Amino acid sequence: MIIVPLRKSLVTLATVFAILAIVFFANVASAKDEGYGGSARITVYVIEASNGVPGVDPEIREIVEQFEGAFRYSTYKLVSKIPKKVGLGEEEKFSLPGDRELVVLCRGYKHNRIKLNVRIVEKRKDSRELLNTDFGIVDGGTMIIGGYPHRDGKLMLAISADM
Amino acid sequence: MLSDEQLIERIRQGDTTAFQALVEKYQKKLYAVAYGLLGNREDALDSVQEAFVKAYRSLDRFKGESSFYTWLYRITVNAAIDMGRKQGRRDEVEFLEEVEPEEEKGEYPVASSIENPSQQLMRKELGAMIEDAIQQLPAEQRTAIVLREIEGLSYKEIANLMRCSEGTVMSRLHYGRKKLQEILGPHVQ
Amino acid sequence: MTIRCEKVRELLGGFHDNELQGREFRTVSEHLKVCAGCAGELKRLETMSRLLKAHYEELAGKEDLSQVWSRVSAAIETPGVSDGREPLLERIMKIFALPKPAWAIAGAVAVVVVLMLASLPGDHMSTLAANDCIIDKVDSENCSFMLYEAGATKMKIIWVIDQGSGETEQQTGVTS
Repeated sequence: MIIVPLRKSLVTLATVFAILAIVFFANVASAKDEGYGGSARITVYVIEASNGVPGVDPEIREIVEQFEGAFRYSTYKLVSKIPKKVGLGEEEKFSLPGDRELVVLCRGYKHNRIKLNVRIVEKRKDSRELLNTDFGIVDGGTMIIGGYPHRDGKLMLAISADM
Repeated sequence: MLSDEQLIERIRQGDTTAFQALVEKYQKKLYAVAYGLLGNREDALDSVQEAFVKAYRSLDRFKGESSFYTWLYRITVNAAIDMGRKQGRRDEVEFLEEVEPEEEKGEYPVASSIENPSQQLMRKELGAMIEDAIQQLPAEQRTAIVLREIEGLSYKEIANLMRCSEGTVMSRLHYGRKKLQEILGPHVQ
Repeated sequence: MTIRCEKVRELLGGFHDNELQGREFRTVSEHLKVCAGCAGELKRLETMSRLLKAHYEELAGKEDLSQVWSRVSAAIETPGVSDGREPLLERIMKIFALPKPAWAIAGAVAVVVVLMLASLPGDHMSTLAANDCIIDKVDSENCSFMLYEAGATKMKIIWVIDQGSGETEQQTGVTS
């Protein structure tokens, strides 16, 4: 007998609480998004992973240590390091080995993450899109796109983003 | 120890440790075949891994008509061949979905630990020569040899996989072995 | 080598593989009793089979396959990739379809509180891993790929595992 009114009041209480919380949350989130400076610094490390003489380029050691367990390569060589500033809603191109390029579009900053669209395209006339991905990465974070054959190993692209 | 069927039932109930048990049970066998087909450990490991992931994702389609290993084996061989083809070999081999490999033959033997260094070196060199020789074979012959010699499939099973007649399988094995003997020379005397 | 030897050698592989039957089997087995050359050939076939099998079994035995499971499990548990199982949304809905409404409300309130706490300014970043990354979409015209998460920093990896016909190994000139 008491359960029904109790449930009703609980539902009402929860609803009010939820509405307040959502309003509060939306305000905080939008305040944070507004705090976004309008551009992101993107650094692309072009890495050649192979099974040659074991070793890791000192400049990428910190990155390699973070993913090393997932792969079985003994050599990680830095082919190039390309830092660029990418404005909000703008695209920047990063040249890659093999007549390809990485195109990074900065979509903004939401929920503590830099939102990016990354494409890998062929540079030749009838260029094809090899990969198209959307992701949100934490400020200062790095993610990897790899697996493309390159010389005796595989190409890995470490994409770091910060604001 | 749980049977494959019991483990599969557990996986279907969301128990991923049961799938881990299956992976650990079959990974060596599958790796040996994938390595034979692809010729390098990275691609072999990738294809084995891909096969397990595919198997997990399509477990709902496994009806238990063949043994789990048969089904898994088919996926692995297809993954390995597909990987070899896509990575430049352009093999013309294609695979059907029907093959019933022989029953599993238990654990793999462990290499003798009482070899002296020169024996080990010879063994290592011979191994490299075998791998090199296998990779020199045309795709169809290599596939037939690997399926027969490493996995012990019957001609009928190989024919089903390679979409050819048993006579063609015999012919591919014949020429493949002939070429291997030429390359490996005195080691098979 | 006689004409018969030539014929037998064509069948010798099948004999070695136990694939011959009837007349062919009898022809080969009887010939082997009287022809040392073909018997020697059979021995070589047997030796080669033994070597091949032993080599690849040994390779597999020596390989460290402990990573297979960690990589497989990472791939099958990566969010956003269909694993053929019940969709996440349905699983969440099931939780909220619990028979006791009070529990559902309590759960909803807890979620809201957590969201509020997560959105508070300050050191909220410390709750995220150093490489925390949510992949919303991965498309490719001609490649298949796998997603991994590596290490404590939760570094996401998109790994292309096969490529379309246009990809070539020699396209490796560094242009940047």
